[in-house]
Amino acid sequence: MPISGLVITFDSPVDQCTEAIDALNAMTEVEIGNQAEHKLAIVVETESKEHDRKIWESVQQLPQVTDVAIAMVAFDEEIARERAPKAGASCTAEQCSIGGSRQHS
Amino acid sequence: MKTLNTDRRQLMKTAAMAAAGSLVTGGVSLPVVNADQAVGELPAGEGLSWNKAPCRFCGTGCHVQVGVENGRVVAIAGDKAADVNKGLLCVKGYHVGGILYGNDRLTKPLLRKDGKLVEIEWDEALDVIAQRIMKSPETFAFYGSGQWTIPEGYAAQKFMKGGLSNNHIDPNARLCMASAVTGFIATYGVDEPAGCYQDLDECDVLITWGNNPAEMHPVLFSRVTDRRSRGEKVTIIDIGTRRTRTTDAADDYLEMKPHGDVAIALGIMHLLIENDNYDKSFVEKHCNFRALEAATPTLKGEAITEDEYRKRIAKYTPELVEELSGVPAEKIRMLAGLFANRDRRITSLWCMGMNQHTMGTAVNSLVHGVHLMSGHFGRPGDAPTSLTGQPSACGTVREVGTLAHALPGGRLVAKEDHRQQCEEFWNLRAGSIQGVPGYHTVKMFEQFTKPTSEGGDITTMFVQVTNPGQTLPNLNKLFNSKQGLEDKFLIVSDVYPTASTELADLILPAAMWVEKNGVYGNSERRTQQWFKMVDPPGDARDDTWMTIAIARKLFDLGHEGMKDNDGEFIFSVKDETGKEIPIWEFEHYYDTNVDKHLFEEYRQFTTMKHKNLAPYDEYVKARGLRWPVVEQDDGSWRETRFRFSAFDDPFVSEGQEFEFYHSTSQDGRAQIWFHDYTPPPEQPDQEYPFWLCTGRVLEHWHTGTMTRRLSPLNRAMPTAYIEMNPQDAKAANIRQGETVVIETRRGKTELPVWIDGRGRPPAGSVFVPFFDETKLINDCTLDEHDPFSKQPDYKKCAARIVKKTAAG
Repeated sequence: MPISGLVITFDSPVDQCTEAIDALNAMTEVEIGNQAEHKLAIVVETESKEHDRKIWESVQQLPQVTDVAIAMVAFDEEIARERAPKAGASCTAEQCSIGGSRQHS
Repeated sequence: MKTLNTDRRQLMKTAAMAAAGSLVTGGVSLPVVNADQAVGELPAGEGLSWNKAPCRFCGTGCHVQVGVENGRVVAIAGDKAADVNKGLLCVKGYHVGGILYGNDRLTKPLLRKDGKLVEIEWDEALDVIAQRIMKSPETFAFYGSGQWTIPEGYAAQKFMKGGLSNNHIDPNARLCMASAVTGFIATYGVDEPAGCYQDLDECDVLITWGNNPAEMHPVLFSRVTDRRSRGEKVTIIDIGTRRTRTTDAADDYLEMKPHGDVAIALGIMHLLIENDNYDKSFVEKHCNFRALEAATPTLKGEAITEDEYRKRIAKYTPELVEELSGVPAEKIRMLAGLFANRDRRITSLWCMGMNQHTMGTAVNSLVHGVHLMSGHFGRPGDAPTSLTGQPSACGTVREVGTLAHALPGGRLVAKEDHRQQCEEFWNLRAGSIQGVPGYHTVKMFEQFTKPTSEGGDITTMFVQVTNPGQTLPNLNKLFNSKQGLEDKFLIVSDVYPTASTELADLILPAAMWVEKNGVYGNSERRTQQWFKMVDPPGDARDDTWMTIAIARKLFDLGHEGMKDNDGEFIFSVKDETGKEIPIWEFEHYYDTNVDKHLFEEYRQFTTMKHKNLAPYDEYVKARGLRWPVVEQDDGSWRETRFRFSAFDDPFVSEGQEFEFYHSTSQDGRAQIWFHDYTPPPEQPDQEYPFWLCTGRVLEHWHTGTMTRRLSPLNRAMPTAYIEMNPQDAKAANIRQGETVVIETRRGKTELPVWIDGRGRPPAGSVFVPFFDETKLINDCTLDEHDPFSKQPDYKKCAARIVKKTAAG
């Protein structure tokens, strides 16, 4: 269930890229965010990685798009829940003696 | 796979939009100010002040403006006045302020007593260390870092090689750029790139050799993609073993077999000679041909004639190169054709792909050779350029010389006159510095983790600003086997608990980044200074102070090496009245600027290899200066963008267009090397059928100790994974997200599978990032290393993938 934060770079100021912006607005998976000069932030939310890649490829092929950069990707929600950073206030002796959850083979 | 609940999906969407938005206009977790407002336009409100600092993460050396309010970092802005990044920052850079405020900062020294870590005071910690060193100074080793500041590395260097007469000091940069060093030295007789980032602004063709700057050096890569967005034509050719985000921006992707880069470079040079379209004028005036000595190969090599070079390289036809590298012969011809055209400017970029390589020195030298032979050298945009992964791998490791064989200023411990010179600078007795190089990283940890009874002659190890428990190759051999060795003592200074502190006997809480003064040196020879802006938490203290305080304990215990020829403490600092400032007492450490004292002492070494630095105060004013920095008639200081080129380098002799003034052949010429292709030491076979490559991801910096504590980044990339090709996954009946076991002859770890993910490896090959301390891929990697640089090869070994159910 990917969610991606992307930065699109256009060959002209964003305001002059109406065809591409219209196309992005028509994509239900895409939410449009901030813009500045040639760059536009979007979020893509899809049901599968394959679909995510297809959307990304579609965005890349829009007129006047010169680059699509990923700012962030939510990779796997199950893993995301399990692997938060170590918690707790400042590290105590007990926490350090426990250490991380490294696997040793 | 379960469905995300609505709240979590909304949170992820918000974080994704914030991260993307920050790259466009700013605004992530810390209040981020639009880069355009930086410098003089930043909103200095009540109690809010701004000051400059280089980013804490990679070797690019972006500058940020740090906003401080009530003793805390509250804002980060890109620094518009910085030439490196011109106000831009990558997603890690925008979050850099947050690295200070993880919940589990180390705040007290912790000593393992009866198997348990207990809090102790600093004085006891220093006593423990000093007593161990006094008992056996020759079995002590200091393992440092390309994240050490220049003064930290210089203090450690002087303490070890001068004070303790012990050369067992080596940095983690041995694991990331040692082959670049040996490549530069073998070719030019002196380390570090001749060009600078301006090459990225002026090249017509950018070739990335096993390099993914779109993710690892995104601000540098954006200099190229932004040129395209302005309508400029820049051709990007990506040579790699897997498709990455850099591939997505490339005009041509040349997929090679692991180790194929060696053959590709040889193939280009073969064609330049075969087609008689190399730059004869440049080669005749400025180059020699070189090959390894048959008996005892060295970095100096032996001279060979051009005819001999032609004979040796004749076999590397495009067809043979295709066989060795997997890159089609016509693509080799295409590359050779590009290099044959002097009208187009070509920049080659590389980083870990060419350095973490058992032929690292060879492939570095060969790519330099391609540029020299074709004359694509020394003009803006024509450059062979290696990048570094750490913020001061160049400044602290390569320039200060914190490697086991080196001294500051490009001097070598093996040379008597270099040792004497260094002893004179340090005012130490003659013979203080030993002439035999210390242990390089892999050897140092082998000797530390080997029982003393079996010859393991390192018994106490001090680790500063790095995490070998996660980054060493073959961890089961080189780190994990320390467990149970009662006479081995590991001291780790760090800011957070890490995979290394797990096995530490003594943990020292460290100050980090803007909690202390610092000086870094980035990938383009740029030296960058910053001041302490906030206090570290609890009892966390500066690493330089730790080194000086240990030295002082030894001085007080009567260690003769801690006294100079006048009987004074080797780190003695005096005030204007001549009274010594007790900088070894932390409450007095900031009575003076210790960094400045150490920097000015170090600076006198820098003229020896024409790496001249300006006085400390010049760096206070600048957003870094690229060495050599030379004083002008009007008293100003001028930096150098392009070394060895007469139009910019003040050390090129009058009348010369180019001059390699540290030539190993002592004739002002660079060396074009020949190295035969040799296969990797371990290759896939029936038992272990996959190539395993390891590396990094955009969101996390190296072992993730900092970035995994930044929730937006950790949420974006919460776990390591194994990238698989869809064909391989289908053949093994492995599904997306399924946890598998990856095994090599050295170890195994469990990882979720990402099929056709961000990076796309070809069939028969997998990729795993190393940032995740809960899934240590370095339990699996190989500790085979380059014969000259001693840098291990993390990019290729044989592995097998087992479904977890089958593995049991």
